[in-house]
Amino acid sequence: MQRIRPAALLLFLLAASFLSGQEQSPRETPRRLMLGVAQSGSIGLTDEELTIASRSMLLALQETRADLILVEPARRLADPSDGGMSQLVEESGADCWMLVDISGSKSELVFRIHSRDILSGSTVIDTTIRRQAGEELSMMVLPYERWQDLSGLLAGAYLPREATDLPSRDPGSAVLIVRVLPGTVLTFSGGTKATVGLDGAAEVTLPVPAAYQIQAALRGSSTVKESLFIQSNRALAIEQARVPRFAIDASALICWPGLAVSFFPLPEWMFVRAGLTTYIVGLAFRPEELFFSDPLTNLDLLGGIYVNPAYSPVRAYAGLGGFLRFVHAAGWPMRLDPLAPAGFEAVLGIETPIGASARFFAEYEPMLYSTATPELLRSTQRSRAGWIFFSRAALQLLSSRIGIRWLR
Amino acid sequence: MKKLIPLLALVLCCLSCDPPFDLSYSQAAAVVSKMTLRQTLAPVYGLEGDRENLDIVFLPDKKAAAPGIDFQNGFLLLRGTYRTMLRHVRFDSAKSSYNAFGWWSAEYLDPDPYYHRYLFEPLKFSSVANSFVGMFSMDPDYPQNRRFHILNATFVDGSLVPQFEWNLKDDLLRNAPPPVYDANVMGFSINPRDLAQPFDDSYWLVRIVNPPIDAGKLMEVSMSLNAGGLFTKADTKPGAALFDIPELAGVDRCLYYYDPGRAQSYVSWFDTAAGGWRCISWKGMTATPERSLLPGVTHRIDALLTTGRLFSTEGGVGRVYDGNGTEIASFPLGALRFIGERYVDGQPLALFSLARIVTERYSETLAIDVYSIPAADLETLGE
Repeated sequence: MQRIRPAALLLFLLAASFLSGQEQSPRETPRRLMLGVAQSGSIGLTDEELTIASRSMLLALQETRADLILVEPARRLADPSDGGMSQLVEESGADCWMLVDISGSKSELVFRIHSRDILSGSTVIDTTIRRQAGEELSMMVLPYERWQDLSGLLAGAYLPREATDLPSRDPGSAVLIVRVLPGTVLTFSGGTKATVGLDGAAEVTLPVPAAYQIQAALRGSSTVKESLFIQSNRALAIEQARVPRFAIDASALICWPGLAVSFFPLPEWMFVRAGLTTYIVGLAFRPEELFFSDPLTNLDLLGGIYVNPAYSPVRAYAGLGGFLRFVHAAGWPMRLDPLAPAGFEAVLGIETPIGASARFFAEYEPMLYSTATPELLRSTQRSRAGWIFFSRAALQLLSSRIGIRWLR
Repeated sequence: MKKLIPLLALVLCCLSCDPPFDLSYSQAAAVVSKMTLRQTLAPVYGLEGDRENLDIVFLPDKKAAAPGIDFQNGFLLLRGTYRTMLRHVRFDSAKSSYNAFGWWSAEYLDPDPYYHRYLFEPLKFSSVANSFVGMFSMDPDYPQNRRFHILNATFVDGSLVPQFEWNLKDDLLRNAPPPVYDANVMGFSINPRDLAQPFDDSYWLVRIVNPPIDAGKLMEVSMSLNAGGLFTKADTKPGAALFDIPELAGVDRCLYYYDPGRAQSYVSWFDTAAGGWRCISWKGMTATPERSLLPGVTHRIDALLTTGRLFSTEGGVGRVYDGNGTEIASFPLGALRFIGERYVDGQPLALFSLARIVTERYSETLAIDVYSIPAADLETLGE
């Protein structure tokens, strides 16, 4: 988990940085700055620390210049000389570069920053920054490092090029620049597909004028569908929210309250849910009484899958699991219900958004109770409707649940 | 589609049914798993209108011959808040069903809040040919008169017809050997030990009421009873004497048990001043018997087992005490009802019944399960 958290945070920050970006003027094309980070001296950063430092630095700098696309080197930084960097910047699809060499010690950092603009052939930045002694650089603090002492360096540098620099296209086509998270697969109506590179932008030439639907899909992020009309070159930023990994359900099984926590091991498609339904208080729906109570609580665990995409207005899902029934009557130690201690359950559900991160759901939830005393179990029911009784089990066909699901 | 979801959810909820749970059945299931199911009486007809009252106890008929207990035929006690109804249920082999019969006089109001449920004891009948079943009861309709009667019924063409009932009060002690005492009965019990005799040994605790002969003193009496009634003379226990138990001063009603093997007597009574149940034990038939209060027994005692243990089912909780009143085990009984200790094929068993409704497609019927556990193993139910 310690390794996952920094990566998840970075992913979130990466998404946030792109989402906060402004739409590019169609008359200008952004500059691409390759950021290289290296170490020297005896600071002794590990490869992983250096990678995290590089990416968090990229994010921090990107936040200062939304009109600039910061990219990582296409390959490992082997030759930090001007020549080596200039060669690498071409391979990385950038037109300028900045090398940050970290030295000193982990608690007293020294940054040597050197940057050149390939288009103008000039050195843009060449400076050294010494950070005062502070918290030691480590895997714990790197994901939260804001690099504020470096963020001012980009001000006024690498101004956008005129759009005329764009490659010439057919008169009946236009270039659409889509800015999304790196690795996103873009699918256009008509079948055109594009995979977004590390620079977080994709250029696609499309016949114009025409209306298009664009689907942006990336594992770990919500799949987004956008509709737009294109008649000339333009840019588009698509917001991709992080896919929720957890959900909290507040529900009612018929008329008994329940709580559940879901984890999505395969975001948007697969869930594992642990829940609790208690019969301590329930709505009676009878004229003579409003509430009634049974000293019984079910704990259940089930797994399931969604059967249609996350962007669907109504999602359907199915799951299978098991449950344990605990009796907690006064004067009787809590225990598994001797009448029917456990069982299996199936879930067929639908959910629909009722807010940015909430869903209303309804589930059909047949339950199979195992029992050593089937006749006693059967005698708890005054109607056979909705029941199938077996020699060692009973199947409750009529059971359903409604509730609200908060995604996190 | 999205607009249909709330409607769909509402329909689903309306079609849902309750979870299968009843605490009394769960508690019963916990203990019957350690018992033997002796018999299921199902379906039981003839209780339509009465079966809603599920506080039903099945008291199987006693036989003089082996196996000693008739699990297919017996009395039913239907206990309500204000009355107890008595029925007899008999197996109809032709229809493979059970029929319950009643008679007008076999309904008792329950004026006594503490004792009313513990007055009924089946009596032995000597043979099937004799066709008598017996029920011995202290009639709660006349608590002041301490009236007792035996209900007799005979089988005529497969149906149960009440024959007669008679008052035991006047006969109880008149038949005793001299000196003849006039006494009120405080409590009685039937010894579960089966001595292969065509009658039951009953034991009585009485208080002398008529001066000038030692009014207020206590006396223990034994009698032989069967379904034909009091057929042998009442007999005082060997060495019986009038005696005093100061703790029982003012007590005119109690649950009385006598263990002939250990010559030990027990009385469980509700102390209205203290607001709780108390229990005392004594040994010896002297004028000042060696007695000991059992402070650990704070619940009603429903049986003195042949093992020497005391057993309480007050409040639906089974509690086993040793002879000194120390609680050995306790366990909820739930829907189980204690029948009593009975000898079946020579083995002393603690018997329980459980009544339940069976829902068929178009009807509901009553079913009664009879469970047993060796009396010596009763305390293992608390493990």
